[in-house]
Formats: sequence, C-alpha cells, structure tokens
Amino acid sequence: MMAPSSNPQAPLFAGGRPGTLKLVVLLALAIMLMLADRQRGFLIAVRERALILTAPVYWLAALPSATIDRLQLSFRDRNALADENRALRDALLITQTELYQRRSEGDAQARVLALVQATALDAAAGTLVRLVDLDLDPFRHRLLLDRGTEAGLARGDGLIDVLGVVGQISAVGPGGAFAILITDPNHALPIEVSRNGVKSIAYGTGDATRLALPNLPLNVDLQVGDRLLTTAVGGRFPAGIPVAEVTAVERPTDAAFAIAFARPLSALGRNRELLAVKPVLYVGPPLPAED
Amino acid sequence: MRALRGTYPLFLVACTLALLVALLPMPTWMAVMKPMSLALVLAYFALEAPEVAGLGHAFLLGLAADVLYGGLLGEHALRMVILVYLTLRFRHRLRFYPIWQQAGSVFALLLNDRVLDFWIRLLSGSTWPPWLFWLSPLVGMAAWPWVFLLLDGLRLRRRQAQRERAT
Repeated sequence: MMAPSSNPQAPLFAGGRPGTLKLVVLLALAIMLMLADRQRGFLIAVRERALILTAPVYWLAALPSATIDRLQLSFRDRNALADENRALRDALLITQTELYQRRSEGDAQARVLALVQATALDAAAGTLVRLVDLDLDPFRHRLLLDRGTEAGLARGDGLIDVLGVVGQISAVGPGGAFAILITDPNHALPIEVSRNGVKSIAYGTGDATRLALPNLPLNVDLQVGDRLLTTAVGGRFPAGIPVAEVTAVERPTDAAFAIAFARPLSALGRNRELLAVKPVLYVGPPLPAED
Repeated sequence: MRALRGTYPLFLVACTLALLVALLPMPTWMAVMKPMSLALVLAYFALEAPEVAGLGHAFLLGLAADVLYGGLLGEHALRMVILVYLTLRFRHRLRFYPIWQQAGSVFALLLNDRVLDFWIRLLSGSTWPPWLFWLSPLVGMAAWPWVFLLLDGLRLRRRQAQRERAT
C-alpha cells in the first residue's frame, strides 16, 4: 500500500492525501455546472444524448420488478383472471355505449362548427407508452417511459391515462423518455371548471394527492366536488380531459385572493399504460373567416 | 501497483451496482429514507483503498448519478467530492475505530451529505421534503457494517487470489 503522506503530487484520478487544490477546482466545477444547468437546463439535453448509454442501465435496474410483475401475472388465480375479464368486458360495453352517444353529439357539434366556419375539431391521436418502474427521485415527480424518439415522441407531448391527465414529456432520447407529473412543484397546467367554464391554472405542490389553484378572485364560482378539465389554452392537451376534482376552496377574509386545492383524478405514476398525445397545433380564439 | 490492479475492477463493479440499487422501485415512504448507496461504497473505498477512490473518481461517478437520476447537473458530483474529501481527510483516525464507532462517523458524513442535498433542493426551487427524509443517514449508518464487511471480504479475497497466482 502507498504511504499517503509521502506522495504529495498524486495524479488526478488516484487517491492518497486529499489535495486541497483539487478539491477547490472540482467544487468550483460542480457549482459552475449547477448554475449553468439552472440557467439553461442543459441536463435535459445531456440526458437525451446519454439515453443511448443509460437506457440499458435503466432496463437492468427495472428487471427485478418487471420479472416479479410477470411472475405474478402467470401465477394469478384463474378465477381472478376470469373475474377481471368480465369486469373489463362490462366496462368496455359501457364505454362503447357512451362513445356512440358522444359520436352523435360530436356529429351535431361538427355541423354547427362547419356552419360558423370555426377551426376543425382535432381528433386526439396518441402513442401508447409504458412506464418503466424505477425510482428516479422520490421527491421529484418524474417518470421514465419505454419509448422515445423512434415512436415519434417529442418534448412537450402530454401524457394521459384512462382516468385523466398524468403529466408531460420533458426529455426524449432514443429508446426512452422522461416525463414530469402534474404534481411536480415545477409544473403548471391551464384548466377549466367543467360546471361553468371558469378558467385557471393548476400548479403542482410536490404532494401526489394535491394540486393548488392560487390567485383566484375571492368571489370565484368554485365548489368542492367540481371537476377540472384541460383547455386548449396552452396547447399541450386536447380540451376536455379530466385533470382533478376540487377538494377545498379557501377564501381567507384577510387576503386578496382565494386559493383552491384539487385531487388529481389520474393514477399518476401507478398506471403502467399511458397515452402520449401531441400538442394541439392551433391555440387561441377562433380565427376570423377568410373572405 | 498490484493492489491497484486487484482493487480497481472491484471498485468499478461496486459503484455501478450502487448506482443501480438506488434506482430500484419501492413504496414512497421507503424510498424517501433509503440511504445513498453510492456514498456508502465511495466512503468504504476512500477508507480502505484510497489509491482508487480519489476526488476525480468521486466527481465522475457523481456526474453519472446526476445523468441517471439527479435534479441538477453537478449536484451529486459536488456531494460525492465533499464526502470523499472528508473521508480521506479523517481516514487515519477512522480506520482504527471499532466498526460501531466507524458507523457513527459514517452517520455524520451522510448527515452532512443530506444537508447539502437539502440546500441544493431548496435553492433549485423544490418543496420542503417530508420528515422521513432525515432518517436516511440513520438507515445508512445501520447498513454501514454490512457494506463494510461485504466489500472488505471481497477485496481481501481478490488480493489473496492474486498473491497465490503470483507465487
């Protein structure tokens, strides 16, 4: 073994006595990287490039839980599977019926729209993606998806599951993509109250069961139990997808604004199958007719 | 030089596994208090084989952790460099402690690491973490003797095998 104190000029990647100069240089480098990343956010770009190298690592780390999942599926009771099958078939029937009703409503709406020459209805088309079961950081509400650029995903695509809005794609590389949940403190989403069309913005709180709607007027028409939907404002999601249900409205007498809290409707990270939807192209008030 | 050749692959394998272990999914209440596995492995090698665990390596491995699961580029790099520096600095004292006392020192190192993590999170605009967040250094302290014995066993066995091959 080397005698640490007899070797003051250790090469950069060897140990020995800790060099104070090296420490200062590396700390300065790390702090500079953090500041630059905070300004420019280039960790996203680095992650996208690095996915070629890191995708196998993620795959390897997700292997144990994926195997357990598969084993659970193959050892599941036959009766339980039959029950699930029946329940799914019932659900499908209900959904189909609703869909037919909606379609007739949609037809009527399309006729009205054609009449007033408004923008065409964009059908929500999406890509099915699966979640990779990994723990990126328990405090940041982030997910890893199993498809990337090859499936046509892009930064800014919206993510929804059967129950509602889940989040948005924040970085895409070959073979994988990262998503940010609507509950992340850095996420904000324009919403609309389904009952009366009141518009606001829902912010993530860092708590998986809560979104916050701050800065509402004190007399805002909002009640506990109201459903919040996406709007076309912001352009990331098709309008009318469920987001959350209002759980509390606080109107403090000594403040200028009311604040409301809502519980996200989607299963957030717990549903494995998600749909990635493209941003809606046209955003804004209807264009004037061109003639 | 022989020791270096013997320990270096073990160092890389252990660090890669530590990076992977941190990614394993678990329920949220457990995930918030899981110890920083890379920190434990780096602390072991800084103590017992400082010729492989230098500041430069700590920086590079920290960067790898940032790319895999960090919030800011450079965050883990900063934390790992400080952890390895402190371990190397007090190495001569720590090495001759009994293992339970060593675990206490590792607790202090991990707590310091957690405080840095907390600062970086707050400065980069995250919210206040739940109180379970502060239990992570305790879990790390409890894990230390096992990590130490495991890595020590592997390293010594490798070295013995090499010596036998040489003779």
